[in-house]
Amino acid sequence: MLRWSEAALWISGAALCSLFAIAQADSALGSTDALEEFAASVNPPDQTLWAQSRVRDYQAAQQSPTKAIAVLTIPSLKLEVPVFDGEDEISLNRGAGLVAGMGKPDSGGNVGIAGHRDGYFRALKDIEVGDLIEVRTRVKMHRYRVTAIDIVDKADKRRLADTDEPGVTLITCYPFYYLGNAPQRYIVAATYEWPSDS
Amino acid sequence: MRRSSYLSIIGVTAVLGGVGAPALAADCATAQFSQAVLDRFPNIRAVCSEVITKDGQEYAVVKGDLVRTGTNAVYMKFKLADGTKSDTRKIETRPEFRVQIDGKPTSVRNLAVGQELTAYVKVTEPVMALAPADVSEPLASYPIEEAGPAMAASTAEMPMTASPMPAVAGLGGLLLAFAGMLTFLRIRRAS
Repeated sequence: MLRWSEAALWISGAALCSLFAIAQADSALGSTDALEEFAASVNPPDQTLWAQSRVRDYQAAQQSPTKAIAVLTIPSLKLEVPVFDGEDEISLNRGAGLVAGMGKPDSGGNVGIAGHRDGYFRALKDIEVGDLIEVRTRVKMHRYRVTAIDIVDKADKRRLADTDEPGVTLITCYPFYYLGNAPQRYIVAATYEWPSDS
Repeated sequence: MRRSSYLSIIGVTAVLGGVGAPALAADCATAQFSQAVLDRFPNIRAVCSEVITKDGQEYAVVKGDLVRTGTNAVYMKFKLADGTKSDTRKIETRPEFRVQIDGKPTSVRNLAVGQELTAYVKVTEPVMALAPADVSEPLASYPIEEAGPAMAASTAEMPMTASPMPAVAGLGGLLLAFAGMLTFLRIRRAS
């Protein structure tokens, strides 16, 4: 009986550690692949000789949920992370995700981008008011300037409200070092930097 | 004598020209905006960059930044002479409508915040239209709406941004440590 328990512990422990290792590998490889695919899609191949059906297939492939819709860059933190259209576990493991119900970078409003505090968004602990945030979509590079950094209760949704001016809100859990579901959220708010303002 | 003849010719020409030639296009300061246009767009003169004539109608040309896209509509802030921007204005459009962006015809579905757009405001009627990519295309004018914020009701929930992986790794390590301890005790007891 003890031998069975011992074997079960070895197997369970190894399985959980393997799962963690696989997730780490998926995070690194998935992020790199997404960034490379995005870079290729920003400079699409010459399609002038392609059949219309091939062009449609190509465009449909660019909308795949596994592909990044944007790349978030914070130069002061040396952070570059793909942004996916969703906040599911796989997306957040490979990068950051757009918060459902909030704006999108090309469409305006308050764009919500979430990331794991124990992953790419741990770097946000060092962000400062005035830092530049860049969100590159397939259409345009959007630049935002950090205007506020807040720590709020996880039930406080005021920072998710829409805004007349375009802006971006980065969201991650707080405290940054915490086991389990953290009770608070770390919010970085930034407003759009118009070309004429810079 | 010769001088007075020249003056006479110039005078007659000026009079005839004034009668026969078409009226010069107004500029932003002199355009006769209807009261309805001024009511809906009070700062039209401040954001107007020029007045053009298209299809026999005068239009004020206004340029601005796209601040939001919506279903069959775009939202713009127009540039004032002092460098500031106007309130947000909604301009209705069609999904297949194309405008010029950086010299290229672009569908309004593919527009992005921050891009500069041009719109036309009819001088005599409170309607406005986006400038089409093809200048020969007739304007699709829609009533000017009141200025105001373009915010939508938010349905967003605070995201769960804690990965379960650190807990998975911790638990896995704990189980392996426990398993190792049991193995160690079993071997020690056996020897």
